[in-house]
Amino acid sequence: MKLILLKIMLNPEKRKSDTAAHFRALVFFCLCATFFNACAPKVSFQIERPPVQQVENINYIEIGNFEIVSGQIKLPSAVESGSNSSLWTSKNLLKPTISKFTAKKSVPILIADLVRAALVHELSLQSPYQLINTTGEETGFSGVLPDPGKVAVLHGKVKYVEQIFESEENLPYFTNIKNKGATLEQSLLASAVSMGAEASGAGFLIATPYVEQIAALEVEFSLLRKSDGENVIPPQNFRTFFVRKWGGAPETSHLAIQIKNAVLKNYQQNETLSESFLSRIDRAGLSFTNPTEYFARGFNLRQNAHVPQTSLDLKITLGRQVARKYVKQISPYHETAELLVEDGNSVAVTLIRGNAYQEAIAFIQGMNERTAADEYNLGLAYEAGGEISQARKHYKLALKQDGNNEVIKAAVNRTQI
Amino acid sequence: MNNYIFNQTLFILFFVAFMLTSCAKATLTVLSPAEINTKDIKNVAVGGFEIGQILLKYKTERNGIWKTHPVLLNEEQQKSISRSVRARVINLLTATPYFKVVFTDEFEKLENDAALQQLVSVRGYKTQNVDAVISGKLWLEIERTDGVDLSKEGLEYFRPRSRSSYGLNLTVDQVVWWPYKSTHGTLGLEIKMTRLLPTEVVATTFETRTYSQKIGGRTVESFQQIAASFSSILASSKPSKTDTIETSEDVLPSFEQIIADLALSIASGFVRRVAVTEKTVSYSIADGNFENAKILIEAGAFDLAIEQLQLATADNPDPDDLYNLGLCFEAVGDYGLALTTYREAWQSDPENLLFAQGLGRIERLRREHPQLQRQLESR
Repeated sequence: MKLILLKIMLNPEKRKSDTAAHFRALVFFCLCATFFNACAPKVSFQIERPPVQQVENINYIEIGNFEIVSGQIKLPSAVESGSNSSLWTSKNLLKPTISKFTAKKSVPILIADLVRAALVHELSLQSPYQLINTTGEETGFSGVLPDPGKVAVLHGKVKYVEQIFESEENLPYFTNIKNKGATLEQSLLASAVSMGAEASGAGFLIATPYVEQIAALEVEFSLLRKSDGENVIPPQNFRTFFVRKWGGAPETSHLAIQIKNAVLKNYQQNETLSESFLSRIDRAGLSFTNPTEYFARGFNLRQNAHVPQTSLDLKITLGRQVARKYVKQISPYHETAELLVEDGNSVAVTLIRGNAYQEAIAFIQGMNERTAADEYNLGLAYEAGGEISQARKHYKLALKQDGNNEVIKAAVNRTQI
Repeated sequence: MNNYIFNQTLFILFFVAFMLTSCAKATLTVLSPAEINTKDIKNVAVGGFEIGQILLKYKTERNGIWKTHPVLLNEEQQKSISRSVRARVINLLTATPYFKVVFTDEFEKLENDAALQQLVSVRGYKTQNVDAVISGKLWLEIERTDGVDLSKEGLEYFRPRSRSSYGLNLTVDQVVWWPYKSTHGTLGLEIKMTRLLPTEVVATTFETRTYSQKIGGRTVESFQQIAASFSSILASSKPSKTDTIETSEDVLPSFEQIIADLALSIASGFVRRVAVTEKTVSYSIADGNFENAKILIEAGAFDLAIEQLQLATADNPDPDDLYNLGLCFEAVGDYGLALTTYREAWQSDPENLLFAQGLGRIERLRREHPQLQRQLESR
């Protein structure tokens, strides 16, 4: 679709009938595409996942001390395992070059405060814990404090490196004159020559402005029982990275190329999706189907991806990423998953497809005989409801009946604790 | 060329029309439970909004040389920004029917969260009839940039063929500088609701909104232009006050305007979390015996539909009618009755996916809003 559109956009001078035909085809194509997308029977599972770590006998969380510490932030694991030889030799490196992240203690306390705020937000909305104190002040609500044996104090040690380069690089611009009367081969050749010349650095060198933001955040969280100061779960360490450039040549960077690739691949994959074409239409549609929601989600605010974000934005994004990762460790969370339903008892399958897992469990439990598929579906309903050990039990029972089924094997592996 | 523009509009209208009508589902406005349980909280007072950071700056860029000029704000100016954000939150809270805002400056005068905790702990407040206090902390950064984009453009020269010459049709590449002005604003706002008796932190939210706009600069690619025209066509179809200078595409808003917009959005997000809200959903309506029900449900007259459907299903419990009855209960927020009715419908026709989906929706609500669980169990 994009291709046809582009083609039409680029050649508006084409004959009218031709354009009209294109549009007719396009409209037809769009109709079909929307039809298939919108009405396909999709089974999406809204499932509850248990916390990754076992937190026992804790009902309350108190926010302790979030402090800035200095030290080295380990590079993304993909870089460490790779060879370091080509790390410094790339010609696309801009100076000064960043090849490691050394956090200093002099970083403003702001980042630690933002990590705390993001963490408290997640804990307050997503976790079963009652928060006693959210700002880490010593005072607290005296007089109403619960049993200290059930209170955990959450501390954080924050390492943060942020480099924002606002600068210029000399980029070659090879200008040329094309004769429109030339044949297609000739004009293609001309553009190839021009591109080749630019790549090799020929042409006018002109100072081209750019902004590049590079940041790394590492936080070590520790959860201590208030009564005895013991670790409730082992200290958890999370890091996240960011790199993005606005303007200038897209291939050059201040960050060593291997690190940059690892960061883009492992930490920034979901970003580009948010600004996609369809999501913009969805947003615009929301403005009259649900104006309250439209305002509440900030869709009325203009967003232009070509404007570099502020440093506050950067800090909040990274802080949130780390906070989300940690909260999953200590609290159950919901997620959408694509799981396969086996072709068992049709009533049970209907219930699972309708996301009615509790009903499905009750129904399958009440059946006299259960096939491997039914047993698997029972496990699925348990898994979707967040009861992983029960799910595993039934997946295993299913595997006993049908030892060769790959779907069941995958399910057993998935639910290993 | 005219025809081409006509076609483009036609195509957009087609697409939009289809987007709106695809799938034979009815669009209903139903009640959605509060994400945060604010039961028993009726009167709220709003405390001060602490300042985490306020940073306003101007940037300029010429020939790749960047300069930053921060706007120096004294304490009073910073406080005034914080108060304007607070005013937006109060504004929206007073507009919801679920809370009564108690106007007192007793809590606002407190310096920070610690002071508030102290006051609440010792119950040193004088204002009576306050169930909870809302306080906040804000982080703000806005920058405005005045700069120049650089790109290579092909300029086309055309001279028609004449008797004396062969004509000319050349494309000449040229490096073009495109001046632009842009702005980017970020507001992070932490809002906390503390219940006074028994003292507890009911909820804390930390929301961020950003605003970015650019005027001038290199023109966007054609594909993005289509996207923009989509949004503008859709946006212009609703009556709005957006034709004022402040919100025009061609004017960068002032710092105050950006702060106000960002704060308003966050505040409505917060109100959505603490109050029962209406949301628009598209659910399927079953084709029951009682056809009027469908019309009533589509029109949003749920109470009347419940009355009629209860009468109809008393004599003849048709599963489709029962499902529609459940749908009405769900829409008015009576999830306990919705669950029982959906279950009844499903028991008569256990392989009907629609009925299972009704059950699934209630289960999901129950999973994601633990306070509903208690409401359901008490039935």
